[in-house]
Amino acid sequence: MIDEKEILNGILKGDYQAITILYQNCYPAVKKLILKNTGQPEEAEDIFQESLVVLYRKIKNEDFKLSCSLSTYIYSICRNMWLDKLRRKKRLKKLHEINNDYFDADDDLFIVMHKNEQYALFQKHLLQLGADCQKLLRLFFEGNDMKYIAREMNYKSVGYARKRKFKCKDKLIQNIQGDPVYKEITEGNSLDNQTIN
Amino acid sequence: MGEQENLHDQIERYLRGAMNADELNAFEEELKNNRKLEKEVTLHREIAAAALESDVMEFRELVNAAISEQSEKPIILRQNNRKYLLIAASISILLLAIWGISTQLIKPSAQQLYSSYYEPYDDLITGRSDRLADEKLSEFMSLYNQRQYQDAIALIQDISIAEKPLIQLYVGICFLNTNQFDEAINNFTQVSTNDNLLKKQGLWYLALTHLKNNDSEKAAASLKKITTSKENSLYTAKAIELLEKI
Repeated sequence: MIDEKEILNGILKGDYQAITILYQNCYPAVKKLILKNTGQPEEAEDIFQESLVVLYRKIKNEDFKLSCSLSTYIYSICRNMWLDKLRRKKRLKKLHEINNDYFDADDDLFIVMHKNEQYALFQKHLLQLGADCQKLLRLFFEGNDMKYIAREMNYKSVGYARKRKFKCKDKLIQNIQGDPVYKEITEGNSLDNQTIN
Repeated sequence: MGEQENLHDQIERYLRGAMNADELNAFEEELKNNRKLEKEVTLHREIAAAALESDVMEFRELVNAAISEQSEKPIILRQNNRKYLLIAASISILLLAIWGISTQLIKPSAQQLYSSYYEPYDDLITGRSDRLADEKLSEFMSLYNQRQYQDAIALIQDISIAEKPLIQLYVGICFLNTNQFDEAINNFTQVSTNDNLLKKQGLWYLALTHLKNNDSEKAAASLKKITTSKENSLYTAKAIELLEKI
């Protein structure tokens, strides 16, 4: 039996052991469901990973209260995420359930799930940029002015910093828009104007 | 300033609240009638918000590391297998006891220990969909997987993300396998000091490098750092075991 309160605190603090315990307790059912429904083991791992990120977001940003067991909650997030993926890829005929211990996501959870998917894609491409571009963009997104950024980056002029910032951001946007998942996400849902709370 | 650069500039000034009243009115009017511009503004806003979520990115990395580590070991004991597992465990304990007595009498050399414990770190880049790597990195991982370590080292010089801790770990392993100990130590030290998630992996391979280099004392020092860390991991058990044999 897992102490759910302790695990939730652990997740919030980024505790490795809490994640490991959740993996050992929850992942087998998730994997079984996904493999039974045309998925691959890597897809099951990706879905499970993102379900924990969704959980982290939920605990972090709200007065989070569980209305079911933690394992049911995680399983339900994974089931909803996988269903959504199958629908978008038109791979869904009929979902073969492995148990009845799940709930359908409400609107709030759906928004967090979809936004998480979108942000994960943006973050993946951001982390694939060179270290120089990552640092430059982070300084810019933090709201620093270009004079400060040029100094921090040891650039010869503010004009050069502007050019670099444009090039890095443009590359990031192009990489995101060229990713098939971006097309899938933007065509698959219309949550463009909602933000994660 | 080109057209695209000008558009970026306008959107950024709008999002930062840096437009004057006239500019703002004109821009908002355009936004009402231009769906493409509206989407572009949303994309810029969301990318900025996502980029500032360093805690979420760190948490995802942590989960990723935990899944990669956990997926390598069996996690469920089936009820009907427990009896056989208990018998097997008892036999193992007996064999371990015999082995334990014999190892007290014959202590293995540092290099023998290295050979018993060394195995290359699994490729966590090629198989996972969230780590779509560039072409050169894929080539590097392919050479690494084929154990062509010298060729992999030659290639990595050109890769811009070579300073990322996970890649540094693989680079260190390439140096370790080609007996370039100073370079291996340098890479593993950086991994173990700069990255919390790969700290133990860095220390583990640092210890193995010292062992291969016949420096048991330094190897033991690295292993002790693993065993005294608060978090348990697969490396804690292995480090305790190896420490006893040094």
